[in-house]
Amino acid sequence: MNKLKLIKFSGWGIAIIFLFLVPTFFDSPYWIYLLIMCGMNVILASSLRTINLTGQLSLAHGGMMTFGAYTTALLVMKLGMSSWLALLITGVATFIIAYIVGYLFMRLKGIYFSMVTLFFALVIILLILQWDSLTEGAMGLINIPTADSISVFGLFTIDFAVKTNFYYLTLVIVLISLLVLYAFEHSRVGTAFRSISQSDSLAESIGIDTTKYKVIAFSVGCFFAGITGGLYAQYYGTLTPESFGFVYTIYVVVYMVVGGSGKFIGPIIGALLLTIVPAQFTSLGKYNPFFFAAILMLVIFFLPKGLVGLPDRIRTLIDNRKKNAGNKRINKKI
Amino acid sequence: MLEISELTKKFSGLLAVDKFNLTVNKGELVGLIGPNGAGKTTIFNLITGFIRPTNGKVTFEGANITGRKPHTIADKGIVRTFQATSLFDDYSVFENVMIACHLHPKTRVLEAVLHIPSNRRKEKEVEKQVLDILDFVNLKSVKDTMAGSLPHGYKRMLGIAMALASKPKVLLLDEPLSGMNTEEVSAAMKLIRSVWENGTGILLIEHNMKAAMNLCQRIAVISFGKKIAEGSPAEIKQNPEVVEAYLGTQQHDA
Repeated sequence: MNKLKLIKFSGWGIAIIFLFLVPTFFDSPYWIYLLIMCGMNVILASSLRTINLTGQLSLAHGGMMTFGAYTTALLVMKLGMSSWLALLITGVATFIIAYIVGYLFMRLKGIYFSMVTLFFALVIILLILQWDSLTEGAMGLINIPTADSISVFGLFTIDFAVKTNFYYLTLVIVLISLLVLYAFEHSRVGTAFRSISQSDSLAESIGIDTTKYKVIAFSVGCFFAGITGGLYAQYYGTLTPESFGFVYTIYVVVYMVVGGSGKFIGPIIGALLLTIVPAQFTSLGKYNPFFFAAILMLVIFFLPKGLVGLPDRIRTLIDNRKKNAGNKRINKKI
Repeated sequence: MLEISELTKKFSGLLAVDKFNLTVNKGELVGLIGPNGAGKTTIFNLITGFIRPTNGKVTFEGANITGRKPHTIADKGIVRTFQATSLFDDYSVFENVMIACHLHPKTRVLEAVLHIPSNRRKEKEVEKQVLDILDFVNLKSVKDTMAGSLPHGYKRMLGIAMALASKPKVLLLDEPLSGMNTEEVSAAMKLIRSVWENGTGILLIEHNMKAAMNLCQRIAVISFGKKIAEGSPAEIKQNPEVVEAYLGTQQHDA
């Protein structure tokens, strides 16, 4: 058991060191861009899974991300706030909004909850589109300042206008986010989340405040969507209300489902794979959604537990083959 | 301790429960029997807040708990089991009971997520409680089995164990003996009796007449949502209305 843990830990360690070294191998701006997008999608898919642990599928992630992106951008541009403070306020604001609407939404279950979160996301996007005086409406925001540079003990400064440095920033935020989400899942709170998804009424009957826990899961998930939005605004520098619309939300859901929502690593694998692979086929262009739909359908048909279910699947196939071979031998003898 | 007065529930025209009155005193074992569809489970759902009554009042230890949320009511000490076995199938027996222990001691979200020493201490405490309860219901030997793969009798016992883990003052058991074989029935009856002897009040719905008569001090009989009789098991057996409700009247027989 301990050996297994050691292997797991060293595996994670090597992966993290590798991720920090990546820019030295792939120093092309294209790969840096792609890896930053990977990082953001990993946070989005993983935080969506945290909401999903309670058995509810939120479709508000794109909307929450848009809200986060605009909040960060406007706080920095209109109020001249430090980008770090703006990012923090964005996270807190998204959390609070999710907490308030969460209590209203949790009266609904299943597909009805998903629908109402989707409409909420669309309302946010419409609001931003219509509020010309603040958000520039459909024109979008341009020249959003990137993250403020950090000076390390006065020795040197890290300038995030350099995209490689922004990659490191994203990496650190991804790692912190994953750590927090992991801690959530493996605490008693996470156990409560999953008990709710298994049987809502049983959980309620033994005294678990199911509404409270669902709202907490939803708010925590949205917090990370908001932060990711803010990070995107700082990285990309331009923003339109449709940057993360309905299709984007669906992509995040697909990352989670294709990777496998049963395991923590599932959405991470899904997000990495489905960000990097489609990017290699840029000729697909507007047919990209078809590609996603095809992959989603293939996975649902052949790997209902997602890509993380693949090892188990192969194991049972091999076991069955062995059994069959054994049976044949017995049959021959008879 | 638990007082139900004039409890009424209408499902769009159908009077499921009609002005039902019942009191469960401290440490009492009360039976609730009646033909299928009489409204017994509806009464449980009304008491524990799973559905709201149209009319009437439920008070517990002097406080009005009518229409409160199920988890609040469970927190106050009224815990139910379900008629259809309802467990967290993907968790082990141990984990099932652990989740039910969940609120005692109270979970604070930040404390649990940060996993600070006070949380570690609480988790140790919970672990001990869980083992005690599993010992009490004789499920210690299967503590690492997935709940979903347990035999039926064990599942029902686990359901009771989970209810016990949330420290009830009054336990509502919805047909705890259904689907059990004779051996399991006698074991379950022994368990119910020892729970009661430890001072927990029990309200029991049961179709197994022999068991109900044997266990309960007092029995209430309902038919078509109305209470038709209440008294000691011996009185209930003699009551002509009860016999009629179960067997039908002479005219119907003819």
